[in-house]
Amino acid sequence: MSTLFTPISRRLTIICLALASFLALAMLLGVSSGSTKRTLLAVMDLPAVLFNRDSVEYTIIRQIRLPRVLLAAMVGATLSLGGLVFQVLLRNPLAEPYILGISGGAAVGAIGGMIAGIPFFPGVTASAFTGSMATLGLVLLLDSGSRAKRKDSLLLAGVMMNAFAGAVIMFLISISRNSQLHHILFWLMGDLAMAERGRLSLFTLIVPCYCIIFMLARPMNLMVTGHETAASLGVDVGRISLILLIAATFMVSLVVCLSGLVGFVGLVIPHILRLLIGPDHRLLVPASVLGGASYLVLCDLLARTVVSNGELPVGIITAMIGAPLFIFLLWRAKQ
Amino acid sequence: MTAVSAANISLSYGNYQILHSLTLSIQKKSFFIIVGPNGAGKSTLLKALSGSEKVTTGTLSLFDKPHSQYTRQAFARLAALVPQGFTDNFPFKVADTVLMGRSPHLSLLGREQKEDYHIACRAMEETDTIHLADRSLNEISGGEKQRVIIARAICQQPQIIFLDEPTAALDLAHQIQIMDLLDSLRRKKGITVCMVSHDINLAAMYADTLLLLKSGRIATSGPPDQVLTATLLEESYGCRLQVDDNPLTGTKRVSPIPARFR
Repeated sequence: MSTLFTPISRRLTIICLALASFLALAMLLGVSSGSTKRTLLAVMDLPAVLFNRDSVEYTIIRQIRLPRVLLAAMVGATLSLGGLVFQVLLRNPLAEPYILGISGGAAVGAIGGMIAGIPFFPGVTASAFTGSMATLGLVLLLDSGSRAKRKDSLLLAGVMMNAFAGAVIMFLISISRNSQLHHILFWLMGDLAMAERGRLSLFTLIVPCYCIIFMLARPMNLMVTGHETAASLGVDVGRISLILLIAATFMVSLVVCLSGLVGFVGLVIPHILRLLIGPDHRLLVPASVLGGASYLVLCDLLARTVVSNGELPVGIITAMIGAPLFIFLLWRAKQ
Repeated sequence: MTAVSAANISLSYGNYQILHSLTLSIQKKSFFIIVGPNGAGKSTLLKALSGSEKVTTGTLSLFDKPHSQYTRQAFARLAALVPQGFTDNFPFKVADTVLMGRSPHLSLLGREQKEDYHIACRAMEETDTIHLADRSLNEISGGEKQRVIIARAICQQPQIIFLDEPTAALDLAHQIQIMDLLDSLRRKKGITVCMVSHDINLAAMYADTLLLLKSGRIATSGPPDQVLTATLLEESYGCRLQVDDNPLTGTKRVSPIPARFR
């Protein structure tokens, strides 16, 4: 009889080990390739690269590539986990911060902050958080307007908020001074080129969000089976939803400040993981973190290497992969 | 001892009042069935009694303690709910779904122990779903799904189970199977059963107390023989009915009368 149930801890260990090694591999690949070919082999000689301050490799890897790869991993992990949380909250596998307009709202706040010239932390981040919370509030308000709940009313509300946020962003760009324009436009499309040590330290604010979400993984399992069922199984649905909502919105808006609008990561990764390891959130939460990190590191690698001169904003790569998948999922749901 | 008691409960959605000052009590270990025409407020009443919908006015208690004095988790250790319909956007395996019934007994970070797996297995055996354990919820039939949800409720080890039309959309064999299962739970484990049913004849065969609800008010309540009279039922349902005795069970039998026999 005990064969019917695999204890969760064993599956958790296996999945985390597998995904963590995949992430390590992706990061190694990310660190070792770039516009200069020479460092591919140099990475193998790690001690020299990491501790010999005079070598060119040290500068390239330690100062340019490593921060960037770390930023990509952090952004990917956060967006992927954010997507997972919103899918639980809205009980809709198509929900995602970008699609719901939450990233857009954060972007409006962040651009407003940048143009006003307030310092990055806490100024711009706080204004991004305000922007995303306001958007989220509006989306939920639009969705709850009618008692007869339609499943796609939330997606529609998100689409409208996204359009509105887009208009506000364009307005802000039109009135901004020329020197900021290129920078903001690139940032808008999702840009990891701004990796700096100082900004990476924001990670210390994001990790606690991961922990909170992981602690709530079992209630999340119950909530996707329906709020009434979850409540009858002892979950305080209102309180848990609020905690999840704030944690997810907070970490997503921080990440939007760092990297701009990187879309669809939160759709692609949880979806693939659900197909691979099933719907248990005690596994999906850590797997989304590791899987999302690996995914964005690899996407960023593509963005850096696919065009011979210069690089693409990583948001272009993720949208090119994610948008067709979203359309496919929507089409399949209609069948 | 009463399992559930409600004093003057009313419930409105906005301006629309569904329940009008109902007072009722459900005895421990009884098989209590709520019947009534469409739109009478049966499901809403069940939601109120099971604590999933807040009443506008009035007081409710479960095992002689007001709802407000329970935490959600403490309430869930005593009362299980089998809701109508089931969303399977996120399809869990049958075994995992049943195991969710252990949640109210675990702490936030607690993991299921061997004992919990045993309880879930026994619940699946009792509901004849153990052979489905490895299947996903969207791969099984409606009748099987209903039994899985009941297995989850049993796994919760509650004192009372609330069910919203558990036999709707099931064929005759599965209807009887579910009702027999609930009856044996009541007899063997002393679990109180409170359900909403559309099927008056099934209700007559199993219930020890019936409540006939009409437009959010109690039309009548009591033993099936008392409630199931032609005059009361015809008035509530608004159609001609034939009420006689089932020769096998001796319980009341209600049949609608086609126009050409009136």
